[in-house]
Amino acid sequence: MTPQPGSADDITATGTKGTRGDELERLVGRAGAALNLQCQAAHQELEQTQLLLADATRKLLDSFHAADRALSGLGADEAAARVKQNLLDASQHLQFSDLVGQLVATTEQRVDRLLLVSQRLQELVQAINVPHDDPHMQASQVAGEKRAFLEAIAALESCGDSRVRQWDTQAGGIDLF
Amino acid sequence: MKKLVLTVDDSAAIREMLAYVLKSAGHRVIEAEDGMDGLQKALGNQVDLVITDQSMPKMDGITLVKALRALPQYKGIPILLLTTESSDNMKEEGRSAGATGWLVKPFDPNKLIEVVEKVTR
Repeated sequence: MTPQPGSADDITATGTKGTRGDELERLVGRAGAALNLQCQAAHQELEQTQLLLADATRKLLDSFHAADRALSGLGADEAAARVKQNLLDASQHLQFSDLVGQLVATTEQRVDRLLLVSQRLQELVQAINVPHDDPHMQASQVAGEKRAFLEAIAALESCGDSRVRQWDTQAGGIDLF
Repeated sequence: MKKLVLTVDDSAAIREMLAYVLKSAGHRVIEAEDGMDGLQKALGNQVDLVITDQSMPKMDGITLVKALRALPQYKGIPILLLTTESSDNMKEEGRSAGATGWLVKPFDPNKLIEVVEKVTR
């Protein structure tokens, strides 16, 4: 259904807008600004998480290898065998960094696409709001911003699910074909 | 009989843990960081087993399996996919590409060695 000019549904209207249209624009603009700010913060926090994860993983791996080197100098008694088994067990759980890294990368992609949607939304609202001498030029600018906004939404919608299904570091299944 | 194993994964943690477990069992290991690197290292070394991740930059695991299976020297060499993915569709894709088996991360070190011994026997 085609929105009535100036109605709350007519977000691309360039002519006179009613009170509801103006209010909707203000609300959308505010929502876009808040989304933008929060997505930028989330992006930074995810980057920070990746750096912390990479740093902790490297140090854990270095400690793991150091423990193994120390163990190799201790001979092959029962205590050494227990420590060796503990290291083998740890080799399973240290794989968490790959799983978490993939989850964070998927979330980063999601947040980046949300950020793009909020930026495009703000640009669209601005294009609608800023008065222009040439109405045709303004209509063309609004159409361009609307296209960019819809492309950003399509990119957001195409974000796939994370491939990581694990909720703990229990060993995964094995299928031999 | 100890084997030469090529491990392919873009995660350093997975590569290092695979190398640790395989070397603990007496095998020799060559590491590659992605499918393209894995293909080059497979061409430069006749390995007895390939263990590869699926989702990697440059070349994914299933593409690597297909590329290796196209080489006469890798037609009969076991190739295991070790990945976080566990959907039946992806497993079927791996099987059709010529993979020998599908292992879901994280791997159990003792079970991994059992599988390695079984497929390289």
